[in-house]
Amino acid sequence: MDAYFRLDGIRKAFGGHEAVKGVSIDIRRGEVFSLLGPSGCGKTTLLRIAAGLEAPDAGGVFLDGEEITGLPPERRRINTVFQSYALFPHMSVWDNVAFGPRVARRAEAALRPDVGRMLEMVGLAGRAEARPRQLSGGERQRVALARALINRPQVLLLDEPLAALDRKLRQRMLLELDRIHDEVGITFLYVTHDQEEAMSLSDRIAVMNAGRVEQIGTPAEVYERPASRFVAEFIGDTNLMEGVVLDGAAGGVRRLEIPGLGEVLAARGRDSGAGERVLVSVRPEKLHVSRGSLPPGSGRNVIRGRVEDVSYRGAETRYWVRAGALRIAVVEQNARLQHGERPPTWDESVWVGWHADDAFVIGSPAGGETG
Amino acid sequence: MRRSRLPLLAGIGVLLFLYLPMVALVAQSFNASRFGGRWMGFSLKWYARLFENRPIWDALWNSLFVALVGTGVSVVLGTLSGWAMHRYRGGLQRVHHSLVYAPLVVPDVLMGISLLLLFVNSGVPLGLGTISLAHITFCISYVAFVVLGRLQEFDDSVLDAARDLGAGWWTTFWRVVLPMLAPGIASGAVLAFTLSIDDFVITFFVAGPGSTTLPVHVYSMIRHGTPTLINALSGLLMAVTFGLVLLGQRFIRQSR
Amino acid sequence: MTRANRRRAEWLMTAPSVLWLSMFFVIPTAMVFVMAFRVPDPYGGLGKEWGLQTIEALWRGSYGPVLWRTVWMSVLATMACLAMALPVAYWIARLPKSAGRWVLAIIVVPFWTNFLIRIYAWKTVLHIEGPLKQALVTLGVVDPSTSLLFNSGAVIVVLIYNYLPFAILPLYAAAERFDFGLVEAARDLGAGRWRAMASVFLPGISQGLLTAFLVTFIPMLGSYAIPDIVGGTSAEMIGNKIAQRVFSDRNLPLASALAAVLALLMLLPAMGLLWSPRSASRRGGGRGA
Repeated sequence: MDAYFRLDGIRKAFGGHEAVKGVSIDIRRGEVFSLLGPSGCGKTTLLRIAAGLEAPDAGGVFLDGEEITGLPPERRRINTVFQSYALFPHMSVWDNVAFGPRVARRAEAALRPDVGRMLEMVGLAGRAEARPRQLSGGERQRVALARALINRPQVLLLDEPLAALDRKLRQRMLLELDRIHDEVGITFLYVTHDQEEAMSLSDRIAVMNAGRVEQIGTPAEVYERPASRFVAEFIGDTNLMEGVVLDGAAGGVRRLEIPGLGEVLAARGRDSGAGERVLVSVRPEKLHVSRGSLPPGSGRNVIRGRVEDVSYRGAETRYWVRAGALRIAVVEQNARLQHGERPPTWDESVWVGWHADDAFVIGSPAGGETG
Repeated sequence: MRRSRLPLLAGIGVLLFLYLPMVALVAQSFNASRFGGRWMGFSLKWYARLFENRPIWDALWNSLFVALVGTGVSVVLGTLSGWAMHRYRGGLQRVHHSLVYAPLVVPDVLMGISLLLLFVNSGVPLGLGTISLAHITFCISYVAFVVLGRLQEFDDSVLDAARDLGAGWWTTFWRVVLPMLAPGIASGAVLAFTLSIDDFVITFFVAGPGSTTLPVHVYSMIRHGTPTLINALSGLLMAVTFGLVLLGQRFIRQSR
Repeated sequence: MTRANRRRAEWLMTAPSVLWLSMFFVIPTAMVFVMAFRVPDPYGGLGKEWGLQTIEALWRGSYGPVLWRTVWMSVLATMACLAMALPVAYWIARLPKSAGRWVLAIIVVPFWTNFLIRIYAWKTVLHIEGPLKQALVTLGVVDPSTSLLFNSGAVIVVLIYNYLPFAILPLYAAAERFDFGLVEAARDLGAGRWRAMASVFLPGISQGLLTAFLVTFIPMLGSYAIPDIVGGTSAEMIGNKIAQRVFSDRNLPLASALAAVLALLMLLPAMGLLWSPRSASRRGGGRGA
């Protein structure tokens, strides 16, 4: 794997608090890589270390094969889109974008077409003379983007760039970012706490928690095959069932005993020996709920429960089914309903089924450690 | 619910209280009478006398010199100080903050006598030099707090942004920090200049013979001089002040 | 940026003002206390020897009445300032924002004229042949022979005049932040107009009241020019005594001892400031319970 931008064994503490506890990440040339995690997980500190705005206590930063750990920010070919955008309030949009080239002592005549092209690209050609405070949130975001990209950085860092925007605008800017990434082909390191943003934009995601990386993978990998309880719960909704492994054939289908539910099959996830206590994760949309009995095919789990709550959400309906001590969430696509079919309602007795391939064994119930 | 009329009446009363003495003084300056008091007809002759009075003009030049030196030095020191208080936290800044704050609450008499003791004790001759030192001392605090106040709306991440875009410390300072601080520094400078040119008590304590500033000269005129000349001088100074205030207002509105 | 660099940058920026103020503020202020134990030299300077001569002189000089006058005149003038500033601040705070800003500017503008001229204006007004005197004589309030000048009354009026804006500004700042819906709520709950003011508005702006008190009272204690110009010997304050020791009999140690007394006097309200938030909250809590 060719690592283009590499963070290697990074540690950083502030006062007594350890914000980043040994993080290593390899980012490939041209990819969009996201650091995803709740606030305080260390992702912004990591980004600031990548930018050179903080020095790591240990570990190194490598760009295209060269170590840049000690290089100050102004000498790295890395630029940042800040969370608050950090536009210079006393400069026009044009001057903000032209700041980098001017500091690099490029001739005014040479940088003019560049600035024009950048403003064109972010759709702000008509607002070159405006001051930052006259712009809307979305427009400021675009200026910040143009200002960073004009320097043709080797890596562009984006620190929660859409957090200050409302939902509609955020979705439009996501598409815009995707388009711009295709256009410039620069490596993006994207920091966010919003899983939707990370999933829709990234080639790969590092899910972070409490200063550590919990999992690195494509959006599909972290969603479908969470490596830890934290990842399973942070990304999307999930049903977590605690149980004991009855027999653990390596790589094959495992039988588990789940108190109150009985025997359950799980085909994926980490290997575990017989007698071990584990968690099984099943995404709500992988489950089905039915009033009639479900066909018990090979590798299917079927349990009986009672509908405790139903919430209709247009495209889908969400059920909460009580089965023993567990409360299981199920999401059914309404498009799958046959005409004239009556969906289960409140307090009805139902069957809930899922395939062993969709059941995922993750770490022990106590800790977040992964194998 | 009917609003009480008391606040309105109090407001009008206070405005009258504040302005009537001024009006009386200006009116008096156009009075042809030599001794003030009774109205003897309109005259500009006291103003004409004022322009022939050399000591007043000498004192004015002294005042301008001190105010320019005082403003220049205190703006540099005060801006640094305000910036440090904004940028850093911790023990040193707590000490720094109280040190800068204290001169604001100490009465002028106290500051005047203490500086006089310092100068006498260390054998420094009193004159425009000691006056300038004193003015710098009390102006630093005002400049520092005006700059600090303006910094409340300063987004520190622009400093990171500037460095991120390739600017070193020096470039960041000249192209980002200084232009953003300019309005705060300017209002600090205006305040320092005003305070310096207006100060009487501290100046009086540390002024030596032959180093009379305008307020010190006005004081000796009040004590020993003819009232008519002071009336005219007051009228003139008031006209200048109101003119500057109006000009400043217009300038502020335009720069908005 | 390393921590050591950051530390050095902090020192570089902090040191100039700290050094300057140590040299020209801290050391001189300390000298006020120290020089009181020096002996005056015959040429109006500071003697080389130490002694308690000055402290004895301070005792013998019977400065008690002057001190007492300084305090009561300052208290009276401060109270008058607050009483006048309170309704004005209330009035401005209830005006539309732009109008309020204008009124505030109009109040402040006279204070851009020279301090001495503001005092001198009152000398004109209170003058034996001045307009106020003539009006009062015509109305038969005063006798033609009484002087409105050179007494403690004149000093108090001019003190009020000079410090009124300093009382209005913090009170206005507090009143402007005050939620006047609370007054309406109090009246809705049955409080009369005055009751609502006393139990909701005044506590709401207590911080502003405290600031207004301090920024008027402390400088008043150290007044010198005002009593010097409009007060006579019967209205002298401690500031005048300090100036007389400096300019008339050139006894610097005694002047410095008097200044030390003034400094201690000033510390009293400052101590009160340190206490008050806690005692105020205790009082508030007691009422609420």
